[in-house]
Amino acid sequence: MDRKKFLSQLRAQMPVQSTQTHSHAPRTQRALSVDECLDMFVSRATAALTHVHICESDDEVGSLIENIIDGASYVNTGCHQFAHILTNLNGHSEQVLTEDKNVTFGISEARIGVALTGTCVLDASQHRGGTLLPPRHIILLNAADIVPDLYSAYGIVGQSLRAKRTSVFAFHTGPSRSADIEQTMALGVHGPGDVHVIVVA
Amino acid sequence: MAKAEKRGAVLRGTSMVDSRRKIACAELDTDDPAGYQGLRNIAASIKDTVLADLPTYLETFANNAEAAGAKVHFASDAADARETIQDIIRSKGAKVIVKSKSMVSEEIDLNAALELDGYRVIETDLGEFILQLEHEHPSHIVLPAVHKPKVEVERMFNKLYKSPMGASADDLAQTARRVIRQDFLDAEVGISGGNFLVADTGSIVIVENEGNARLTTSLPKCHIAIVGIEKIIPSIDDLPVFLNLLSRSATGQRSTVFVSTITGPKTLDEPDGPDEMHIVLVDNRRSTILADEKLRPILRCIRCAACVNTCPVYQQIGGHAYGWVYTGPIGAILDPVLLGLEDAYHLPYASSLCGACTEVCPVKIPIDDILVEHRRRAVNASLTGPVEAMAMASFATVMVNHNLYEAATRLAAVMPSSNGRMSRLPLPVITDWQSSRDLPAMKGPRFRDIWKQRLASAGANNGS
Repeated sequence: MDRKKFLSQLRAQMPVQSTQTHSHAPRTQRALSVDECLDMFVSRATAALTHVHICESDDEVGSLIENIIDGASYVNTGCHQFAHILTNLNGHSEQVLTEDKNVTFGISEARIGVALTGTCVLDASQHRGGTLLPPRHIILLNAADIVPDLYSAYGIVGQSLRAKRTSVFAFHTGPSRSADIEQTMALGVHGPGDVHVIVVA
Repeated sequence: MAKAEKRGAVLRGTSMVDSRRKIACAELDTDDPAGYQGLRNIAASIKDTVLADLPTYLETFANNAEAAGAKVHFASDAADARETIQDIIRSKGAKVIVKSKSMVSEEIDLNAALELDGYRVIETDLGEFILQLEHEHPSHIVLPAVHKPKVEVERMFNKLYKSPMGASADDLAQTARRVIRQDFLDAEVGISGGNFLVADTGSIVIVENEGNARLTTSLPKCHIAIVGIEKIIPSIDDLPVFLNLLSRSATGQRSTVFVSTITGPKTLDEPDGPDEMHIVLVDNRRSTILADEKLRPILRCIRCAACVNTCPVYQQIGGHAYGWVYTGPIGAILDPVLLGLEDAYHLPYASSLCGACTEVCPVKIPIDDILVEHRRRAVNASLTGPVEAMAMASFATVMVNHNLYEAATRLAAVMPSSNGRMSRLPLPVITDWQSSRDLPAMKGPRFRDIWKQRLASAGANNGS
């Protein structure tokens, strides 16, 4: 239906307007120090069945990734900040993923971490297919990018959207799961069933 | 399949989710500065703010979504919505359409229309996929296949995909993943629902656990989102309030596995994503609810199904007994408007008015008040028939007349009974109703007689 007609019909149906005070979300966030944020992130992400690792140097990250992927194929979904680590991985070839090529791992870079939900936020700079199609997913997250809660995370998302459009912000919390078959949890239904987050402190 | 087996599955499923909900919501008292009850109040009042000025918010949303490169369509009813979507798809030369969960698409019976047009339409949510194979409809808003015992899925996957009998839930899910994966890669169009429309950014937000909605909105070159007009929230800053309440109330999770905030199609510098995005905003009698002060709170609903899981009636009868898309307490107040009171007036009667639904509603919809309001309107419109009117009239006559009440209760105490049940009441009407029911027999002397005796003996004792 024509938009103008639709909206004017809807307006005609509206009862007389009461002057209402607008309510808004609380802007306060949970006060958590940087260390508390990291601890909370680790415990909440683990509760959501994410494997969380903490590394302190690039070398440590590199050898951890080599350990996890153990010779299997992987695709870099769009890491920039950590790209140099991936190019130096021993004995593994990076693949370009245009469709499902049976790649085992997607390796991504998170823009934000959310402590209270154990969430990693991926933006559209990451190849969406690469973060979803491979059965296993490794996400690199800078410890400094962990914020306390969803209020602070969506604050950043909103700011970013107002500055420059990004087609998607995907909040990932643990492996893909379903309880559709008699409430029995199954992992890896459509998205990755095994998720590692490497926090770089 | 025996009915008892289905009832067992429904009861186990809903009570398990309901107990997880309680724990997760209680945690908000420490996790959120507003606390659980505070968040419910804030969420309800944000929704009321939007509803009081819905046309303006819709216009803002549409302008912002189009500025982000999406095309926004408005559909006044089910037929309008179907035709809008059919028109979009016709120009795409599509053969395969993947769908992620959308209750509105069930409401407008979209799949049937698209299949008539010759497309292959695949429901990709595991539960909905299973139901589609059996030509069944979801029986629950969030747990579509909650009524389905696992052994039925084993049998079907065995027949269709040679999956072994006794396969684990994990194995069954892997089989479905394998089968649906090819459809994801082939599909030219992806159709999704939407949990929220964010007015100030023009984004749609989709909440899910499997990743099928992310794939549906990422792989096909054309994404169509179909969403009810009531799903608007003013600002992206309001989103956390609703996400906190929705995931915890729906499944007891702190956050669902995936939450996508989608703002337009892929940009030029992004590696992948749809080239085209359409948002179809559907009225389909929601404006009737909006215009009705008493019913308007229904439109606050965020489809978490907490009311469904906690409802003792739903737990016993399951979702298909409601006969339409929205089931449980929310269905009992929504369906009478969307379908018309004439066709659904019986649904508000499928409730004991225990109020459990209202207590758990994260946006504080007064569900039991609205159930009573629908009943009042059904009676006023003479939809409930002369038998109920007579029964209620005779009940009222007996209850307000002392002599009649005395006579009726004395009579009830001596009505013939067997095994503690009596086959009929001492009432001259509703004989049809009584023919299929029995009632507990009256036990021993009446309370009022015992009371009278006690008073008399107490008086005698005091006097001595």
